[in-house]
Amino acid sequence: MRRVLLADRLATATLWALALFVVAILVSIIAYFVVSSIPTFSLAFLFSDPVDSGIGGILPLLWNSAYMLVLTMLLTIPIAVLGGIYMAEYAGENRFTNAIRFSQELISSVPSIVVGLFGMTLFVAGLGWGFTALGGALTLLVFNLPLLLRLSEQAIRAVPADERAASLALGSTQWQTIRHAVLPIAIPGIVTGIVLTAGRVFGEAAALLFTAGVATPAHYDFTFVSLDPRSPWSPFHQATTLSVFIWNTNSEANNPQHTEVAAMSSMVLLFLVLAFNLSSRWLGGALQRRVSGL
Amino acid sequence: MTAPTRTLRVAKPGFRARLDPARRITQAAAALVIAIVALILAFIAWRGIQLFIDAGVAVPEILSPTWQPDPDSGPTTFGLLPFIVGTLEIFVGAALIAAPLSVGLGLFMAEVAPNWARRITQPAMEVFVGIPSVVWGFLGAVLLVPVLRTNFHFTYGYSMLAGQLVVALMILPTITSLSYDAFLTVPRDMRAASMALGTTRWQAIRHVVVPAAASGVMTAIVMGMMRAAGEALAVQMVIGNRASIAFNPMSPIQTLTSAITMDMGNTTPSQPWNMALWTMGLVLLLMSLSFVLLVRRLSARRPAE
Amino acid sequence: MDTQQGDVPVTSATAPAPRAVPSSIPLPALQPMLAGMDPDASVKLRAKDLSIRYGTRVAVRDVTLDVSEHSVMAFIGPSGCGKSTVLRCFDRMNDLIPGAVVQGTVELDGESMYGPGVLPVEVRRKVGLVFQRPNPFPMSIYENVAYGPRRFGQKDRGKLDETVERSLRHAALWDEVKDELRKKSGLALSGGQQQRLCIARALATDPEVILMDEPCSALDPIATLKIEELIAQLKADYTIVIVTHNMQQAARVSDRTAFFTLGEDRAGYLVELDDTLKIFTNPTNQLTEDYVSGRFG
Repeated sequence: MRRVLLADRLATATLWALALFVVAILVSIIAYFVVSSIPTFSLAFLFSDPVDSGIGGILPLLWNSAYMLVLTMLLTIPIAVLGGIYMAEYAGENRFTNAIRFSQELISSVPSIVVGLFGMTLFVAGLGWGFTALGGALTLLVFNLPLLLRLSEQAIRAVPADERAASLALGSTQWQTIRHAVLPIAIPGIVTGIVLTAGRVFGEAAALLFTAGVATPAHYDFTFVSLDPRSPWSPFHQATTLSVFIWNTNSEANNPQHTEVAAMSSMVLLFLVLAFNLSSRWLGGALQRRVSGL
Repeated sequence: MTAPTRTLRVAKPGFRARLDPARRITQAAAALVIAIVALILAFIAWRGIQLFIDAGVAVPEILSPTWQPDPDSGPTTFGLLPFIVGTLEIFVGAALIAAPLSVGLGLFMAEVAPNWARRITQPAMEVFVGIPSVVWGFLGAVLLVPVLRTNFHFTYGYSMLAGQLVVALMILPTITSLSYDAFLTVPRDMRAASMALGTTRWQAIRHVVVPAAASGVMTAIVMGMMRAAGEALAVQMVIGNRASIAFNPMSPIQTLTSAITMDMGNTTPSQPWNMALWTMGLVLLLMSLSFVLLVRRLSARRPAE
Repeated sequence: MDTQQGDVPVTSATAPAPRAVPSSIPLPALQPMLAGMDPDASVKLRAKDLSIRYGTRVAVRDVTLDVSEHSVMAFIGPSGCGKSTVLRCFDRMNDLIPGAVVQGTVELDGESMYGPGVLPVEVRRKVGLVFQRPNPFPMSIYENVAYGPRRFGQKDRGKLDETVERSLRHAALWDEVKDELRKKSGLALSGGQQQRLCIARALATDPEVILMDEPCSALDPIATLKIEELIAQLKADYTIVIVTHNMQQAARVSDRTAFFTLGEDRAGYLVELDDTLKIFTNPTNQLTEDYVSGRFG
């Protein structure tokens, strides 16, 4: 009896200690970035160009991260939501849907560096684009599409069957039902999925090394709006993102202050990703309230 | 006797239903996923076997422990074994470190944590999973490696252990949240049933909850391993990248992913060296395929509700 | 209260099923004869001024009742009246709900269940609980029954085999499962068999009291009948408290019945406790009368 009770106490204490330990790791990581950035960080870091020696800034890299994000999501969202609708509303249990599920599982397990190789062969070399934002975005599409497709499917499936039955009973066609009865209710879930997927675009680096490029841009002229690869607005410009920059800064180490630059960039990246995760919760909840309030 | 003809016509989808453009368009979007995967498989397989076809390397050669890809420094040997062993060491080691922590944390969140504690650990896991791999790599290189070098007298600091620790932290939230889900699928009544018999909570966890969730927890660990095996940059930043087989956790090693990361930019497609990198990509792809099949088998074995 | 022996055989024209307990409500004329259980029969369970709170919300207030040894008491009442909550107090299962506070005294054999130094684990070993939905563990039938004894340190194979067989026989399940004890999962049984397995699992730990929380609500009528017959048999060795929403069931299986309802303050309370026969034929309280005659609830 006593031994059993002791084991219970011991196990409980161990589990508490574990939880405390893991949370402590997380807190100390964030604290490390904040504390180590205090001496060198200023808002100017976000709004100036990178330099070869010294602190400089990360404006072009932030721009590229945002650009890649928008471009990737523009390509991903329509296809993923349409595919999600098919999987949730039309698809039966057959070889076709099985193949889709297997593809989803496989793609989520393929290393992103391997997907990067694929993008390199197809877009950089095959189509002769060189390192471009579009090539990078299409590569990111490869793993974002199956993910968002699954999340949209789940969001659509979560819509109660009653909603469909009610609409169909009124004589609507299946598409009308989906469009006007199912989708509006599924939107909060889909949006949460979109924001979560988007957060991954910011963090991804391995797949972009060989597709969007690693060269650190010196300066962007944002008044130069053109399809010309030299324009930061062009989908064919070489688009080194913040994550790739962190990797590059740390591995090349030409800059005597590379540690400070990488640390501050990491902090910015970390906070961006956190903002995405938190806003996905908040946005999903807010939309949910609006939909149900209507 | 009068009904059959009518019901038959209702049961069969009409001509119009089969032509339904909305159905066709959404189906095409879903089919794109299959097309992409097929394309990737085809590309990687095709480029991956060029080492054997175009460069004339014998297939068994890739199992050699010697990696000498540069023709300028003597006869070449494309042994991938150091990379395969390195990849195994990283994902097995990382899983060994992360699994007890994560499964324990999953148990804590599912069984022990009071609400206020769960309100901390749950968002903490979401933040954890969102930390990008380059940030992990940076932390490993800047914090972990110097500590291993100065405090634990590693020759370089850049080492197998550094890679295992960094990747362990990366996969920790993956295993935690998946095993947490697995524990939650065990009906609450089961714990209550055990405790109503007069067992302690830990006995209920150990003898009812854990066995019932075992296959889910195994799946969680395999998923974590899968992520660890495919991680490139964080690993490449801390393992030292030396292409030789080593079993000492203090020595630098090299993995398939980090070799691709390091050398792809320095080689051209016509070089056998470059082709060998693609072969590594193919090996990684085959690994993912086995992981997926393993996960499928594990989840198929899960007992029905 | 009357001191007559309670176990009077019911063989009246209006009571067609002569079982250990009346299966239908007999004529009021018979009622005085059946009325009293022996008040000297020892009290097994006793609650005094028992109140249960969840946070600030009072779920049940001021319940005082005694359960005699080797008797069956039924708790009836509308849903939400706290009858299950009171039941779970006798097994200290409310301790598992965060924020639940138990006030007043609960005694088993005259000893406080909630006193300082009393371990919930020890209380629960003496009291078995059968849940609303059958909840066998996802393991073999044998392991389900052997679960309790194993946890209490019984390692001897022979003794375990013996306990398993005795418990399954006692729960009237042995004949149906004896051929595939170790092969078949408890989850592969039918609903009624699962519930009897859960009873066997509880019996294997050698309890003195068995609490049943609507044990038949998820079962079909035939399975229900089997459980009811089982309850009648178990009464000889155990003290049983059963929560039920089925008044016929309460009338069929119990010796005494406690009627709970919800007060104006949304807290449950005990309205009336008496011999089952009296509750169903001639209750004292108007609320009880309304409830058992189907006018409310």
